[in-house]
Amino acid sequence: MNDIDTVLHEVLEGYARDVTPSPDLAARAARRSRQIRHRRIATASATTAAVLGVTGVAAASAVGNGRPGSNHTPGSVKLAAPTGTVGPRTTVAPLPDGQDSSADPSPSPGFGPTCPEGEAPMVRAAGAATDSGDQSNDTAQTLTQALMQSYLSAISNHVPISAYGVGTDSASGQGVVWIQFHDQSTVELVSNDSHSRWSSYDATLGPCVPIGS
Amino acid sequence: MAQDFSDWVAARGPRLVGFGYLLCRDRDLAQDLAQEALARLHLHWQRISRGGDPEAYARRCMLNQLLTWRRRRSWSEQTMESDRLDRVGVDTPDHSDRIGTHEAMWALLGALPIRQRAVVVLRFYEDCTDAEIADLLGCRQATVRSHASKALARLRDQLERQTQGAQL
Repeated sequence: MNDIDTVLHEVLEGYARDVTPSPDLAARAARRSRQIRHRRIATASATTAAVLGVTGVAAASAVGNGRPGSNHTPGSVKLAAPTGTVGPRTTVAPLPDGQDSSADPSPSPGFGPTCPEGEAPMVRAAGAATDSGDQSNDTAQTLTQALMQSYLSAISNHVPISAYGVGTDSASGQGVVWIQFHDQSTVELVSNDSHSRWSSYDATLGPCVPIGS
Repeated sequence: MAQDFSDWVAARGPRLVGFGYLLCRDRDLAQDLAQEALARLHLHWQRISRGGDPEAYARRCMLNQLLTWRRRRSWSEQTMESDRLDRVGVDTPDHSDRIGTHEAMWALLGALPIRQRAVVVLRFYEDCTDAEIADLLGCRQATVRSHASKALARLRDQLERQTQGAQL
């Protein structure tokens, strides 16, 4: 070990020792943890209620996807695009950070793209899956509902959602579900073949394109 | 059997707060970083304490949190100007050379870009390997080596300049 390595060790150890943690650090962390958990529940509850309005998203059909960054096995599926008269976008009220998103379910036009009837935003995913988890496979729920409930109950770092809807994946052309959060970040949700697991990807929303194109 | 969260924090908390302080150089912010990371850890404690590495998880949370806060708040550290750097550690005639060198090194560390500083802290304080650092920072090992090389070259160069200045 040369001199500078030794000096660095001594300096870092010395200055770090000078800082004393708060005596109730564990208790404060536990309280903060409960706040986070409560926020997740509130967010998921609001979303669950709002998702009930999405009834036109059909179950997925098995189609492979070749999107770069995807870690799915060949033959994995995405949600089918909505059919009939169901609009491509549903909105949950955007509220300032820290407020309970379940308090005001009124729609807001401020987030997410607004597409004409029969169109949905192009969803472009980037990179590898950011998260994955088990998906509730309750047949009483629509696939979209189960997928979002499962996803939102698993995440811990996102702020409440501001909008969500269905879109068309830019690489595969398949219908997907997207969720936009208050900080404007967006994720795309993908279900596997058996709808037993989901994966999420960081994504951006593009222009509206005809559904199924 | 999972270890009790409070016991674990009592044992490892000081080290985590120290780690946070070395990264952000602010005692209050270091406490906040540690608390937020521990809150995330508490959420998943049953799982992580059984099969995972709680300390690595907490360190990763702290690094991510710090980088996120910096982006969101445009929090800019006080980068020392070169003329101030030249004087650090030199105007300490009442201290031993060793203490002067340590103070100078601490000041120089504060002038490093955050990712270079994080690499130095992880390597020399946490004794992490390049692979572990790359995993924590979400980059390649080559990037870690590059950060380390640049940081050490800068520290060595500045320290030598100060030593030479003090001898004149």
